[in-house]
Amino acid sequence: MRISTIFYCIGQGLKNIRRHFLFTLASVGTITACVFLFSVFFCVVENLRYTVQGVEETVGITVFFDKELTEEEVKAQGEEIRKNTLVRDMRFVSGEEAWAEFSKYYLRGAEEMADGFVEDNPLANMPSYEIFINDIEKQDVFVKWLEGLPGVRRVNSSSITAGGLVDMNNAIGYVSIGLIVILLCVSVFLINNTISMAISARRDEIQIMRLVGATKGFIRAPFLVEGLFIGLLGAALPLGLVGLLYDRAILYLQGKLLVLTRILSFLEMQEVMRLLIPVAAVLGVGIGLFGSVAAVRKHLKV
Amino acid sequence: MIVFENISKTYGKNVKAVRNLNLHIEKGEFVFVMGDSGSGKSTLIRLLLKEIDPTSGEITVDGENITAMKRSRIPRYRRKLGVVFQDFRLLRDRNVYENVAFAQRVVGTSSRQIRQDVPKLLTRVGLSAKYKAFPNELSGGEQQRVAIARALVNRPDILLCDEPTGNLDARNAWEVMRLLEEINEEGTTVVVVTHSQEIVDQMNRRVIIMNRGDMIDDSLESGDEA
Repeated sequence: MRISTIFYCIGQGLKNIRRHFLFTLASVGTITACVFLFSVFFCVVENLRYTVQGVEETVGITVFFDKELTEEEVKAQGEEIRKNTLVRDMRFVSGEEAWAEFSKYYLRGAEEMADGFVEDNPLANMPSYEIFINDIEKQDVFVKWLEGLPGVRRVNSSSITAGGLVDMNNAIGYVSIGLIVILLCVSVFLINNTISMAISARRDEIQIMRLVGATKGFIRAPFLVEGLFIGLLGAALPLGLVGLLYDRAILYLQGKLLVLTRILSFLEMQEVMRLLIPVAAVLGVGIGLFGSVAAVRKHLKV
Repeated sequence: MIVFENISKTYGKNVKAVRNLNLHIEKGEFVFVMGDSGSGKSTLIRLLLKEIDPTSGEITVDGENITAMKRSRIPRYRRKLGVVFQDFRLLRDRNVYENVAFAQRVVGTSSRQIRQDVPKLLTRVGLSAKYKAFPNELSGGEQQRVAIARALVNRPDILLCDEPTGNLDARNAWEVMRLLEEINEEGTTVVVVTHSQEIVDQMNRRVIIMNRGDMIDDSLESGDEA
C-alpha cells in the first residue's frame, strides 16, 4: 500500500469522526469511563499489592521451641526449617536478644524496671527463630507445617493483617473485573453504533469504491482508523485524569485515614503509570478496534 | 471480449430476471440493450459488474471466467470496467476534480498520476473550466459527464452505462451519447442499457432487445444493424 493511500485512509477516518461528532463523543465518553474505572482499580490493586509486599518483607513469623531443647538442638531444627522453599530469610533470636527487644519496645520509659531483670532474664531459655516468607498468601499453610515440627512449642504470626490485605485485594479485583466487563460491553455497543452510522452515511461512497475496484481492505480501513482513534482518545483522557488526581488522592487519604496509612504504603505515580499507560492504551485501542471490526463485519459487505 | 453462455438469473424462488441468455460482444463494440422495466437488462450490467452471480451458466470477460472468480480477485477485475448510472452517483460533498480523482485514489494511483490524468479527462469531457464546481452547481448533462470521466479515469476496457440519459433532457442526452460514441471510437467497448428508442434508432448500432428475461432480438443476428 502506498504512503499516500495510508494517509488517505487516516484522513477519511478522521473525517468520519468529525461528521458524527456526537456519536463519537458518546463512544469516547464510555471508553473513558471504562478505562478510568479500570485505572482507579488498577491503582488500588497495585498499591495494595505493594503494601502486601511490604508486609511480606517486614512481618515475620516467630517460632518458639520447647524449653527442654538446648540452643544447639534449636539451631539444628532451624536448619531444617531453612530448607523449606517458602523461607526467604530467617534469624535466630537468643533469649538475651529477645529480652533486649522486649525491653526496648514494651518497657520504654520504665528502664529501671528492666534493669531489675538483668541478672534474671525471664526469656533466658526461650530461643526462637524469626522467619520471613516469600508469599504471604501461603502463610497459613507454612504456620501449620511449623506447628507440626517436633520441638516446636508455639508459632506467632500476624495472620489477621496479612490475610485481611490479601482478602481485600481479591475482593477489589473481583468487583473491578465485574464493573469493567459491564463497561466494556457498553463501550463496544456504542462504538459499534457509531461505526454503523458512519458506514450508513457513506453508503454511496462505498458503493462507488466497490464499483471502481477498491479492495476490501481499502474500503474498511477508514472505519477501523475511526475506531482506533476513538479508542486512543478514550484511553488518553482517563490516563491524563489519573495523572492529575493520583498524588492528590494519596495526599487526601494520608490526611483523612491516619489509621490506614500506618498499614498501607503507597506507590509513586511514575511507578503506577509505567504499567498503567500500556495496559490502558491496549484496553482503549482494543475496545475501539473490536467495536469497529464488529460493525464493519456486520454492515459492510464488500 | 464478453461472452454470456446459457446465463440464467433467478431472484428468490421464482423471479426469473434472465433466462438462458447467450450473447457475444466483441472488443471495441458499441451495444445497446433495450427493454421494458423488469426485462432483465439491468441484471446484465449487475452480472457483468460481478455484483450478483448467475443462477446457472458462465460469463467470460476478456478470456476470464468471472462466474468462478475468487472474491479477492473481484476488485482487480472491476478495474477493467467503467460504470455510469442514470442517477450519476456523484459524491455531493466533493467537487468535480475530487469526484474524478476519487476513482483513482481508491485504487491506489499515485498523487502525481492523478494530477496528470484528471485534468486531461476533464478537458476530454468538456468540464475543465468547472473542475472546482460541486455537483449541485452543475446541470444534469454536466453531472453525467463527470460520472463518465470518473468511469474512464482508470482506463477501463469496457464502459457499462445503465440508462445514462434517463435523467437528461434531449440536448444533454445527445451530448452524452456523442461523448460515448467518441469513447468507443478510441477503442473502449461500450454497453448502454436504455429505454430510448429515439437514441437507438439514430445511433444505428447493435441492439439487443430483452423481454421478461429473454433476449428476443439481436440486431447483429437479425441483420438490422446499419
